[in-house]
Amino acid sequence: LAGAGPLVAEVPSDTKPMLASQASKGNPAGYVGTETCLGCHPDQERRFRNTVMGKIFANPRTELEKLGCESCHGPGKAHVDAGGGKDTIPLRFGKDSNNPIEEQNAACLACHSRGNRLFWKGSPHESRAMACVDCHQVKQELHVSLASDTRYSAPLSENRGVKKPQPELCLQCHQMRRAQLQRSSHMPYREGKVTCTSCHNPHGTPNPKQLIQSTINENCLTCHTERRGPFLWEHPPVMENCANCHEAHGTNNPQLLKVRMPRVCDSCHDSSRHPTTPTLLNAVRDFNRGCTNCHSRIHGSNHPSGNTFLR
Amino acid sequence: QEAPAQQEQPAQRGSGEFGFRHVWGDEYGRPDLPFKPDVITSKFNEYSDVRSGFFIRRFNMNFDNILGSKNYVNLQSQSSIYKNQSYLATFGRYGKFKIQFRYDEIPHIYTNTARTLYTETSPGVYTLPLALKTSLQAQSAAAKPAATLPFFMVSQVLCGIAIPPATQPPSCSEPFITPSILRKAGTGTVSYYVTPDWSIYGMFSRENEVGSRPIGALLNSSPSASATAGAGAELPEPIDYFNNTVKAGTEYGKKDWAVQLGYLGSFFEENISQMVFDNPFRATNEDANDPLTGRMAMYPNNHANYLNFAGAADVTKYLRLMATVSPGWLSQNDAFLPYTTNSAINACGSGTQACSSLGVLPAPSLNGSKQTLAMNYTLVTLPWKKFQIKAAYRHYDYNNNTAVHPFTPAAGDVGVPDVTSPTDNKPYGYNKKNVEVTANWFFGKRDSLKAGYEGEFFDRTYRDVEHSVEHSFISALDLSPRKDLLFRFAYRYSNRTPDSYQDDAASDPTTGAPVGCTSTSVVFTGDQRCHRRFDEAARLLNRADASVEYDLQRFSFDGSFQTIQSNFNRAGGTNSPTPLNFLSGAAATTAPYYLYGALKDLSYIYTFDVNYTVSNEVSLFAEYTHERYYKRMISRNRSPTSGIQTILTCTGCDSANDDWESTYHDIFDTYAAGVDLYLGKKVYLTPYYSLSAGKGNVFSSALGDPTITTGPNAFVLTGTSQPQNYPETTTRIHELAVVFKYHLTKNIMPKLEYRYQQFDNRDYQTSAMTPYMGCIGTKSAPVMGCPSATANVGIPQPSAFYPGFVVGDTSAARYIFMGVDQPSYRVNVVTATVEYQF
Repeated sequence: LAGAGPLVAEVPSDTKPMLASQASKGNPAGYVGTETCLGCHPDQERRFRNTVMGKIFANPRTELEKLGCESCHGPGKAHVDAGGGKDTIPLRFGKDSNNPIEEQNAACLACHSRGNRLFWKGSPHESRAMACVDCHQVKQELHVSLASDTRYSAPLSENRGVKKPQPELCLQCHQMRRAQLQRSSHMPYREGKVTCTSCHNPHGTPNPKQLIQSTINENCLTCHTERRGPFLWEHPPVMENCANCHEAHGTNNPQLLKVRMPRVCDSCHDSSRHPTTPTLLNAVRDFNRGCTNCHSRIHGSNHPSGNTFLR
Repeated sequence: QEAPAQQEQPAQRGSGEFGFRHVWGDEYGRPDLPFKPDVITSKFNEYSDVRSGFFIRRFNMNFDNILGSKNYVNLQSQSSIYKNQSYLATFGRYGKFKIQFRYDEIPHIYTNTARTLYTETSPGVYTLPLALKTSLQAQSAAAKPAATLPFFMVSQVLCGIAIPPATQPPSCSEPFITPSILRKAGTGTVSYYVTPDWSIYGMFSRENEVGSRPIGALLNSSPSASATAGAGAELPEPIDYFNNTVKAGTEYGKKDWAVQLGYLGSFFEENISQMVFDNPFRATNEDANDPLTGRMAMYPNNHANYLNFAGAADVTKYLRLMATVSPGWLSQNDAFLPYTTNSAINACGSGTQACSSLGVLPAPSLNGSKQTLAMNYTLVTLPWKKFQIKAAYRHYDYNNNTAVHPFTPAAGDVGVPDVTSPTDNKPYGYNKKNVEVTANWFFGKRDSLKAGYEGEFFDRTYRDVEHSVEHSFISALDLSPRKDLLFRFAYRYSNRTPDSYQDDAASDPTTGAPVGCTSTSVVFTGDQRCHRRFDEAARLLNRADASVEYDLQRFSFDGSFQTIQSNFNRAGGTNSPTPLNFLSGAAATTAPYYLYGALKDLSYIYTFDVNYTVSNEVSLFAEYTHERYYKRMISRNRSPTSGIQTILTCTGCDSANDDWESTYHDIFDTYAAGVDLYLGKKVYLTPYYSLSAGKGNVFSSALGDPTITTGPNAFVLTGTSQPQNYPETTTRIHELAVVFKYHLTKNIMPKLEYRYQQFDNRDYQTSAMTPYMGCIGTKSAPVMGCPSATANVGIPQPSAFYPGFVVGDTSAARYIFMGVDQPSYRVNVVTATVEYQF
């Protein structure tokens, strides 16, 4: 819930007269107005007006939005006076920009500092000098290479402002996750039913691992609500952290287990009754679902006789 | 100046892709099965629904400025009319409001090799024919030779279990089932900007989850389900859930500050509260050890409510304060079931009423209640331009207010409950506090140096460690010597130390006094005195990350390395100060260890990723990832003493000479390579191949001296107690895809796609599973009472991947499984579609 913000905006396509309506009359000092920009940059305008930002700027709500191009790129007088040239644009974005990333991000944050960006400052991506435009694009169509398109499905989304659809966007940097998503035991990531932002907020949260919810368990229990309890008989490591036993990004073991049965249980239950034996290969504690052939209510039981999770 | 672009390029309204596909393939690796599983219900479709026929892959339509208004409509769909379909409809005005409805279906197929003798006569009630139970009861009667049951099971009851179809029992009628669930969720959201600074939103979602999944049910208190005692059955657990979620909130903010207020309610409903199932081996004469039925509680209904207050403000130009406070309330109050269905057990509670009566329970329901509180306070300051300091405090409280009651469980619906020593429920809770102080020096556009400290202070109730502290030191360095080259390094060192470690069960059974790791007491404790659970134990953790990104205009290379190393095997502190090994010096069979449980948890991961754009028409990519995981644990084989004996007077019941070791190795290699061809501005061609190859091994070995065969240190890890290596498990997922697209006209693009997917699965735990594993033995050692290996050649070879090797437990002669497996498969999919843009 933390950081859950308004969901307004977005949607591509269709046209609408926009920047041209932001005339230069009455511009603040140093600003030349959008019409002046369009004199030389009609292509940029054509792409921009079909974006969500373009559509919002068509009906500006704030003084900043009324500045059109210059609301992001800064006052353009020097650029115009110099007859153009990239170096005279006060603020440019991307790898070729001479502006510090902090400056580039500040331009975005002037409008986008709320909602799920509330905790951007000091977040892992911010502190590693990630720029907003590393993931987002303002004036480009969504690029989907065919090869990528054949590999992953993505949940339906209106978001056209990112450079690639998820999970490909995140996997560009988080490459080991790409490998994990392809394992045999996995949640439906490849099938496009769950994606990175189902659990994580890349803009930062005060929670561990940039999780949307306060803890790992609260995150998992958003979908697996039946395991939330409270139960009469609880298995403490389960209530504390699902990741004690499961690797959510994918494993080779059944049920996303980090270690297969019976060793996943043996690593703690090494000291009493039947877990103390090494367990022969052909034992009922080993094959099929191992320990949970019998202790099938291992996530918690509400049965008065379920203290060992048999019921 | 150009004409207005609006006139040049009429806006696209939408697009749709539809066509036909043909799917064929087969499952392989299970020649022992008397039927051919359908590849459509194989793991290939675990979370999807790819079948032959007409389909609409996706659809997208936009309408802006509807009827001259500033409003828009967007409609999207994916996999329409199939079981994995999704729809998204949005109506709104940019920057003002949005109303959205989403509908999603997610299938999940667990297996397509399952069969069961049970019939679900009403939701959650599984029964067997009386005649069958009567026969099985007679065959497993104590007076009968135990050997007759396995033979009867195989030859008269279960279909084709490791038996060639020609010799299957004529009465074979075990139905074939496909345990699977389907999630169907509808979600409506509304959001509205009252002013540019103030927004509100609301959401309601209702999800229905229906189907079944395999679950094990034991009619006993231990895993034993031998030929004459105990019983077990694997069943399709009935699933009929509803998840309702409500969200509402508002946000108000100005340029330098914002506040958020939100509510989240989550309500889980289970429409089947219990699962009742027949004991296959008892039709009449119920007694304390042989119930007629068993009963399991399904997950109880539960409610969760959370509030969220969040705010952030730039207190000064150089100081930002962010905070959240989020209290939560979790509750559950479903009525308890009786202790057992077994009317022959009469000693629960006070011992005056039958355990099948609700009257003996200490409470009619749990009235479970937990309160959580998450608080975060973060300060980020820039004391000077290139320097950032972050200070954060986090508090998470998981407070369990559930009352404690005394219970006298009848485990597995059998046995005599201990009414003199009731078992209390343990309302487990914890509190965790974290502090973080980090400093960042940005000494270049993409160059930075980070260093900091993190501390975690963990308090728990009802666990072995009541209080622990973890100190972590973190550092990171980013270097970008040129704009197309970036190096990243990070390192973390963490040291977790519990104040003390005391398992309540590791205590003197007479006095109750704790028996510590270094105690010289010779009593036999319930739990091993020096065992340590890895999530609470002392731990040193080292983590290192390194990566390089080289990104030219046409060529890019990324590589990374990560290792995470957890070491629990630390001398002293809450562990033993001296090695616990029985053998030492030259005789030692393994490295010194100072605790029982997990000792090491290591991982090494390497990734490489190359992209090369040869020309505007040709681009290539290749990826490779190598991962290695290693875990090591130590355990001790212990046998409870008679009560009057000590570990010094019984034979090998609690000796370091019976310690054993297990290591776990996982190795993964993941490859992908492909080409994108864009020819003549008309033709797209993309061949692509990937392979995800994983293998795992579990190795186990005894650590003691096998020559000691008498006395307290007798070596007993022999016979059925001997440690042994398990066969290697492997999974390999190949995928080859070739996609051909042709721009026929500006709006029409035919598309032809061929996809081949192969899944090789060798898993010793499931690749040999059949409904009856009590009659499965190796060829060299056929199970007594079962058809002989020579007469039934199928028995010793249930899996083509493991010739001569099979699993099965003769001590589980009265456990009926479903034969759950996900066999290997090969699937071909040819798809012909047209993408139409309008």
